[in-house]
Amino acid sequence: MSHALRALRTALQLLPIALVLVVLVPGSAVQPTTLTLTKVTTAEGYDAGSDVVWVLVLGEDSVHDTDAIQLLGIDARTGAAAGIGIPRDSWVDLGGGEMGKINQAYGEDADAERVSEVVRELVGITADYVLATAGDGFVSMVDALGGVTVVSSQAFVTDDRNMQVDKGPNEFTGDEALDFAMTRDAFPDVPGDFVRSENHQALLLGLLKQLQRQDGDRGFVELMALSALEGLDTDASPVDLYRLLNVLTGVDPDQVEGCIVVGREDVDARGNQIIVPDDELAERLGREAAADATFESGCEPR
Amino acid sequence: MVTLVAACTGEEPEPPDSPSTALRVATVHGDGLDERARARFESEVSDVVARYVEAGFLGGYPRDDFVQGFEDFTSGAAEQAVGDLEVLTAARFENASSVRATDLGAALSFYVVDGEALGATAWIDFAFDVDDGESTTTAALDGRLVLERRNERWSVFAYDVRRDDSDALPVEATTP
Repeated sequence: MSHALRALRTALQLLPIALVLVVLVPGSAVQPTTLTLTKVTTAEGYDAGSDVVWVLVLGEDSVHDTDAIQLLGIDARTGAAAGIGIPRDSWVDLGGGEMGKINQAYGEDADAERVSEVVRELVGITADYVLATAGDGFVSMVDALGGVTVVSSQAFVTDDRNMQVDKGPNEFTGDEALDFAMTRDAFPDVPGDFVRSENHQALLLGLLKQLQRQDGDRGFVELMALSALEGLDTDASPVDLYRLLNVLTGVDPDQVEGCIVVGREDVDARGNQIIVPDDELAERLGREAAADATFESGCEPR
Repeated sequence: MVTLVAACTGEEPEPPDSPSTALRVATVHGDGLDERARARFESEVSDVVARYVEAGFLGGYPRDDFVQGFEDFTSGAAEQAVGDLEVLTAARFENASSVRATDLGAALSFYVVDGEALGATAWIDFAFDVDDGESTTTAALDGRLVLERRNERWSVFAYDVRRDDSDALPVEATTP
C-alpha cells in the first residue's frame, strides 16, 4: 500500500475520534488544545498445521470402552471450532463388516487408527490426532486447570455420586466433572447418550474457557502441556500437543458450535440398546465443518 | 544479518543501564532443564527473537522489507503475520528517518520433555524511538511469541501481541 493511501486511511480512521475530541473539549478560541490519541492495536495468529485441525477426543471407562467420543475441528485462521458428538451406542461397521457399538473400536489395544477410521467412515473426516483419556488422567488434568465451570442445559442428579447439577453454570473439581460426564441414566425422557454427548461438549467448552482464563500467566500453557502429556494417550507427538494446546488458546468461545450425530433407537441381536446413526446427518455435519469448522445448516436432521 | 546483542541474565529481566539495542532475555520457567541446557536453549530462542526485532523494526530507514521479520515463523504463522504487518513490525513508520530500540526484554517459559526444550513462550516487552526527521516519538509492543523446536530448529508458530503507538500518533484538535 502506498504511503499516501495509508496516510489517507489513517486520517479517515482518526477523523471520528478527532471530531469527538473537538466537540468535547470546552474552551475558547484563544488557545489551541493539543491532544494525543491512544492508538492501541492487537494481533494474534496461530498455525495449527492445516487450515482446520481435527482432533478425536475419547473418554475411556475402566474396560476401555470409549463412552465419550467427540470430533473437534479448529480453524486457527478464524478462531472457529466445531464439535461433532458421536453417541457411544452408535451402531457402526467396526471394520471388515463387523458391526458393533462405536465405543468398542478403540479397545484394550488403544487402536487409534481403527477408531479414527470408523469415525471417518461415519462423518467423512480423518482426525489429525486422537487424544484418549481415562478417569485418573482426566481428573488430574481438570484439577491442574484449577477445576472447571460447566453450563448445564438442565438440572439433574448424577448417577454415581448423587451430585446435584444445576441448570446453568456449575463449578466442578476433576472428580465432579468426571461424574457429570459419565451420567446417562438421569435422562429418562430422551436417549441418554444424546444428552450425555451434549454434556461432553459443554464440559469441553468449560475446559477451553478455563484454559483461556489463565493462558496469560507465564508458564501456565507449558505446565498444562506437560499435564496433558501425562494424562493423555495420544498419537500426537509432544511438540504437536504443545502446538495444539496453544492453538486452543486462540479459539473464540463465541464461535464454538456443537452438534450430535443423533439416530434411531434400536436393539442388537442380544437385546442391547443401540443407536442407528442418521448417516445423512453425520455426512452433512462432516461435510459442512470440514472447510471452516462451522455448521452452515445447523445441527438438526432434515 | 543479526546485529542485536542478546544478553541472558538467568532471572527476571533487569532494566538496561542506558538506552541500547541489547535484547535482555531471562528464563522464568524452565523446570527440567539443567544449567547447560537452559543456557543453550535460552541462547537459541534469543537469536530467533533478536532476528525478528532486527528485521521487523530496526535496520536502515526508509525501508519496506518488513516481512523479513517473519523469516523464523512457520509458513502458516507467517501467512497470518503478513496480514498483521502493521502491528507486528514497524511497517507504519516506513518513511521514518530511523527506528531505535530503547527497551527489549523477553521472559522465556520452556516446555521441557526428558530434559529437552521442545517449545517456549517468549513474553516480549519492546519499546522503540521513532525519528521522522523532525521529532521523536515512541512505539511499544508486548505480548507473546510461541515457538516450537523441530529438527533442532526453533520457529514461531503463534503470536498474541499488543501494540501501543500512542506517542507516535499525535493529533491536534483546536477549539473553535
